[in-house]
Amino acid sequence: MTQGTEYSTTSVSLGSGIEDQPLVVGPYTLKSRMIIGTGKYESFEVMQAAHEVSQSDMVTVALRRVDLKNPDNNLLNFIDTKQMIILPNTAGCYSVDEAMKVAELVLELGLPKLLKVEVIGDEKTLMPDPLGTHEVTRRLAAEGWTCMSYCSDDIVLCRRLEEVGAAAVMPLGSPIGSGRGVLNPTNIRLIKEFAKVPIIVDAGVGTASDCGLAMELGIDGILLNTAIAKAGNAVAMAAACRDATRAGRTAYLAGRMEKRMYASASSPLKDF
Amino acid sequence: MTTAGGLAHPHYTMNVRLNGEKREIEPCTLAELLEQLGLHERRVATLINDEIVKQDARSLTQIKENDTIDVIAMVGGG
Repeated sequence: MTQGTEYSTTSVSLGSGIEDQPLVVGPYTLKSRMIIGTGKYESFEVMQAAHEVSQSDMVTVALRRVDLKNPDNNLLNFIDTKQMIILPNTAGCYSVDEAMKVAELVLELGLPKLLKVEVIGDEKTLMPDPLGTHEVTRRLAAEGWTCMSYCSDDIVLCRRLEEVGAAAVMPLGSPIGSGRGVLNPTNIRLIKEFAKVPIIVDAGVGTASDCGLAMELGIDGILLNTAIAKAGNAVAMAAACRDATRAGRTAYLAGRMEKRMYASASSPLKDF
Repeated sequence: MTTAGGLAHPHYTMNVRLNGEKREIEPCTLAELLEQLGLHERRVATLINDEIVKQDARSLTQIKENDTIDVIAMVGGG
């Protein structure tokens, strides 16, 4: 896995001889279509084990004040940066100015111009602020940033984010940390149908089947944190979500049958 | 209020706000403060009074009375 401007020419194996293209976001090529987080785990050790099992190659992080009582409690010591691209987020920002400040801090931390743009508009639902998200994406994309913009599942908003330069558009399935799955699959399908950049469903996954259902809609990837971190066994859930993401993608590529109103016998009805 | 002044008055301390908490510290540079905090080898970003102080400017930046200092790093998030 190389981090840089080279596109991978190799395809990704989904098993059983089925090949897929990698997920390409701006200059980044990801073999896994599942992006995972680093928040809410019971320990860094459990997180590290879950990361390893997930086979993800991108992980989100947040930027916050250092806990001065535990200066050695360093998240970075538990992320395999040779295998995983760090995707910093602007979580917790409620304004354009705050998010722009986080972008500056990202560079100051020696990270590349890659950001999950997240501007929150409502404290209780953590619903993103569409106008703020749009403005931050527009400004940062103009400065050469690879913006992965977290937004609501609005078809026109997603198109507008693409137009101002988002490298990936990330509509939510349901509110952050709610575990309610993809509440509006019709919107997600329509968003994907019109998009030229990758569509990654971000937020709302509660369990493995949510990954599968989301990927079957034809989206390019899925981003989840709480479903794994807050599972009874985070490592096992990481494995389940990994397999479900792959299964959903494979099912999408396979092409599902049409839904019917009435039965259609699977066995021949005559020639007994 | 330089380091030299601090030497002349060994008990001289300054009130600052460090990562949101009130602290009394002896006069020092931002680089020296990070060292005292055990953070000099960690990848951090620093701000004084909401302005970013770049890494190479930390040893030249003297902390002043009533400064607000923030030390930022990567933490778990989704």
